[in-house]
Amino acid sequence: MGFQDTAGLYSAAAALRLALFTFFPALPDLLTSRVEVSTPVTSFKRLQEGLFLYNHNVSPYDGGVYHQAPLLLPLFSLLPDASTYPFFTYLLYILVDIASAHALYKIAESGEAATSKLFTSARKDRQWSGYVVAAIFLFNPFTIATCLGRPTSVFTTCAILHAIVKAISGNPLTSMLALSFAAYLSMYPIILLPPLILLAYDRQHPSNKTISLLPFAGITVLTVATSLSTLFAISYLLTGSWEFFSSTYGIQLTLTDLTPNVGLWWYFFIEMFDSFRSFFLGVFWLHLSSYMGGLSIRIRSQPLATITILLSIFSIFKPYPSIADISLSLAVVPLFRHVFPLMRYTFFAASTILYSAFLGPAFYYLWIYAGSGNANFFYAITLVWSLGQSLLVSDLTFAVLRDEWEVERPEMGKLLSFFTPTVDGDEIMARFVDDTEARGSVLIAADGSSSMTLSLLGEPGTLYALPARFMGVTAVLSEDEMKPLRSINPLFSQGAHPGTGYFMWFSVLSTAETNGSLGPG
Amino acid sequence: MSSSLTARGLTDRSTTSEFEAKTTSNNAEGNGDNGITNAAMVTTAQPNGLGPGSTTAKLKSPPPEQQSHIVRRSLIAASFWLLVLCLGIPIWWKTTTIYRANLPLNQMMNWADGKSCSPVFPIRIVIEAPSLTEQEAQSLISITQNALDAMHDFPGHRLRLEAASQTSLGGIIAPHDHENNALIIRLTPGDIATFEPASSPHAHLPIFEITYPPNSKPTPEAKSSQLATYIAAQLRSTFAEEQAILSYFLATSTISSDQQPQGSHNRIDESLSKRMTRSMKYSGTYHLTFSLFTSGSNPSSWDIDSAINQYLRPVLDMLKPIHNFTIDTQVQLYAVPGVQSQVLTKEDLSSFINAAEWPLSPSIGGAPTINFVVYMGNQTIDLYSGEETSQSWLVPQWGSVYLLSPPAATHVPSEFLKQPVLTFASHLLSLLGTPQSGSLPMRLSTLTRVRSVDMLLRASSSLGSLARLSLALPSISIPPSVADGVAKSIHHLELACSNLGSTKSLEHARIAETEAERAFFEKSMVGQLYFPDEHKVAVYLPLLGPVGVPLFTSLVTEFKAWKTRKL
Repeated sequence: MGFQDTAGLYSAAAALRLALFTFFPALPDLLTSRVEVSTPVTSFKRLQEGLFLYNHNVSPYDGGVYHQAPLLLPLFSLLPDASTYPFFTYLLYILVDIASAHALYKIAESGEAATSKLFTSARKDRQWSGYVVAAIFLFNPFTIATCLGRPTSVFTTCAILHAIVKAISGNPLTSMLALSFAAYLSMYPIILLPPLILLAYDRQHPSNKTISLLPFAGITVLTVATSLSTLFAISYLLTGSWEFFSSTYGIQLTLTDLTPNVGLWWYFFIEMFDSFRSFFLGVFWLHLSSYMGGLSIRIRSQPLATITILLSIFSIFKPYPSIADISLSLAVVPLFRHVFPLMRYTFFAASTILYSAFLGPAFYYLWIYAGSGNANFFYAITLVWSLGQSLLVSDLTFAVLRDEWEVERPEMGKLLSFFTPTVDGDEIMARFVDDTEARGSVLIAADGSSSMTLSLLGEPGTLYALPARFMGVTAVLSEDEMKPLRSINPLFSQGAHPGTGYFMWFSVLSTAETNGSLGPG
Repeated sequence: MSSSLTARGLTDRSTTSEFEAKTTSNNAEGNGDNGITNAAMVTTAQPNGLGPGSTTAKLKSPPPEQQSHIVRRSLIAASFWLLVLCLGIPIWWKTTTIYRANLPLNQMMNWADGKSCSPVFPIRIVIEAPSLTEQEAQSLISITQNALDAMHDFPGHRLRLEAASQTSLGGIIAPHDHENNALIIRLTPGDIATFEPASSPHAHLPIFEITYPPNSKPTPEAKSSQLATYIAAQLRSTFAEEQAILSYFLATSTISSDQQPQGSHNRIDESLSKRMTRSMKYSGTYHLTFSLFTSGSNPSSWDIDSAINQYLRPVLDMLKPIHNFTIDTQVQLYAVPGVQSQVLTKEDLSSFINAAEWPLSPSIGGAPTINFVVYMGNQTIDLYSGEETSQSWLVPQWGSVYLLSPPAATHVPSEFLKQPVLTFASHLLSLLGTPQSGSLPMRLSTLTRVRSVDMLLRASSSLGSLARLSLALPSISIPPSVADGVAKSIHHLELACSNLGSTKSLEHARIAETEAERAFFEKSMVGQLYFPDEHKVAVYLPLLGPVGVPLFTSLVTEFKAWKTRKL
């Protein structure tokens, strides 16, 4: 795929969004009020409420509606009022989307997904270009719906992607700053810190390679702590109290607002006994963060894969997920285009996700508006939704591990696709159907009658059918049982029936185990 | 580009050649392996195609695992277990432990059984006898005291007679001198023996005037005297009602019967019990609502402020040491009563209040509300008897209603309201549980004592119930606030018990009662009341089971692998 100007792509995406904003003026507000798009901790409506209180010098957290970070308020109060001049708000959200897409473009162009410092995939040539990855993100319906619904999670998305791109480009401090901002906005991205540290460590400039991992991790953690404290201090100065902790992170930790969403938490905690509520909140949060350690250790050689898998896990198991989260996880999955041939359930996962994406709103309508369904309808469909996503993430994990395994054990499961002499003519390069290749001076084909090598040479091996049928039987016999047969002939015996022409053959095979000649080696 | 073309052209072949690829690779692997089994040899003798899948599985024996991979796998298992042990277990412990604060159970049970405090009032009665010499007074007092002790019909009262100190003889009685005195008796010589309440300069101090004929004056030597017997009898009858009420409270409380005065059951009067159930639950503050409901558009205003100030305020002032009052008033036009008939029978009275439409909120603040309703309409009450026409009735634990025929004017002057407000005042007293006999100061001082005992008993019984509850349900949680409430309650009970009979005691008893009730009805305590242990399996297993299985199997596998490596 040749390089094309990304400016065209970005302007097309911006134009599409602007057109939707302009020609369907009711659409943004409709999407804003959808539970699939807006959660209590990201909703644009709630942001408006907080903004109103903030502009009237009342604490934005009064009234218990606004649960978002305080720093969003001065940002949005700089913009003209969203209800009278919505254009500027639209513009901001479109720009944030394009910034995210550009970060994705750079991540994809870096090739980190297939060629990290410690690992090079045998399929690295099969990656999609940054242009395609950015286009998939920008024209993903989930991304577009998120942009129209204007939840504040887009800022988190943008910050996470920039943290990744900065880590890849060898700016660990900037990367940590971006991650701090993401964590400040939504709290859960802090779980990405360990794989991001590994990624930044692997990709730092060769000049400062002298530093080992532990001090490096110490410095980065310190950076994150400092920048987070600074952000908290600024928030304190803005709102005049530490109230924002309990109103933003406290809500996420304790799940006080049980508004339905596409996640798995709300229904569980509606049903949970009060006395076990705090215990299960702990269990759910531990579950969410437990993958971080195991994945970082297991896929140490590919930190970007760890981050991708964690992002997908977040969009399933975080307390207030929305389609903004799946748009992020679907944005980073195409970076791993090279392992797609190894994925086994793509069709099933994709159709499950599509199925629930269409049925979810319908069931929500049946429950809330029509009154002919109940909460179980919607919850069941969110279960299916999560099932689809977990299939996708587990399949991707499998594919990444399989890709790694094939590099470790190159002899396993090879199927020749073609061979050709190398450019200098000294060697023969054999390419296999799983996009791996091998070089050598001689290619020895021992692949049987229907040999691929033969057919590549233009003389496909053929089988000739004989006008005879054979039936074989095997029997394992002990030495005593064998004696009468051996007495006929120690090796084999044959004979033909004179009338029918049937032919009989038996042969004796003395194995190493039975005749006691099995050596020690 | 040519490469991709070739690849595409060959993919359809991949399925056909898959089997071969598999067998060749298996052979390649098998050759490197020492453990060629019997079965493997047999298979090679077998014709191709008779089920290589099943037999090749036996062939597979992966190369030995790299050391780094073993370490890595152990690390992964450890990372999950570290999280479970370092965070999961503490969270589980912290959030599911049932907090049980230590309660002074013995002390609580003692209070409930009445062992800690027996409600005995030292009632000090001061006798002022300016006309008697000190010696005469002393002898009179000792004789009367003997006579009173001889009656000893009720142990709850301990009447103690005292001579007034000389300083107060001049008629200047400082109120604080008499704080602990329940009654003052003034003896004045007269023609015939009388016993009547006298007006007191201190509203809260009942004073009785006794006039006696000079011949009944006791002599120091006499063992009995007519005057002394007379005083004793009068005192007994004065305190009879109070005794009856106290016995009633003791009888209905949870204090075990051996602590109760003997024979108290018999003395419980039907009418007394009725009166007691009629009265409001004690509260430090009551909210009085005066409502004017008119059947038509007239009258639309009333001079209730001045009527209250004129007729009710004196009573409220007298009650001040015991209760506080807040007052509001309202006028409602075109009010339709619950019963429309012209003549109200006794049965109609209970449904006269139109609870659905009349704005009589049950309780405005924290304080219980007492409602006083004046209804201006044409309805009359007929109680079958015919002769007596009543205009008002009392609704137990709620308030009182007064029927008035509407005046011509739109404004109701305060004079017109005199009778209703005076009736309300008397209804208020009975709603508060004031005894019916005696002078008003006497009734109020009795009310103080009666209410103290009432509160004391209620608090003690709440404490007892709480103690029994915490013993009976070992799985109930007892938050620190409950322990705190119990400690406060016991502290105030002790204070109340030590100065029984005074207004301070009432105050302490009231705090003790509130604290005990608050502790008993603590919300977080009852949440887990019925949660048997079997239910915990249902709570834990559905989620933690699936999570726990891989955790434990990984641990077991790692352990087994470690053991085989060791061998």
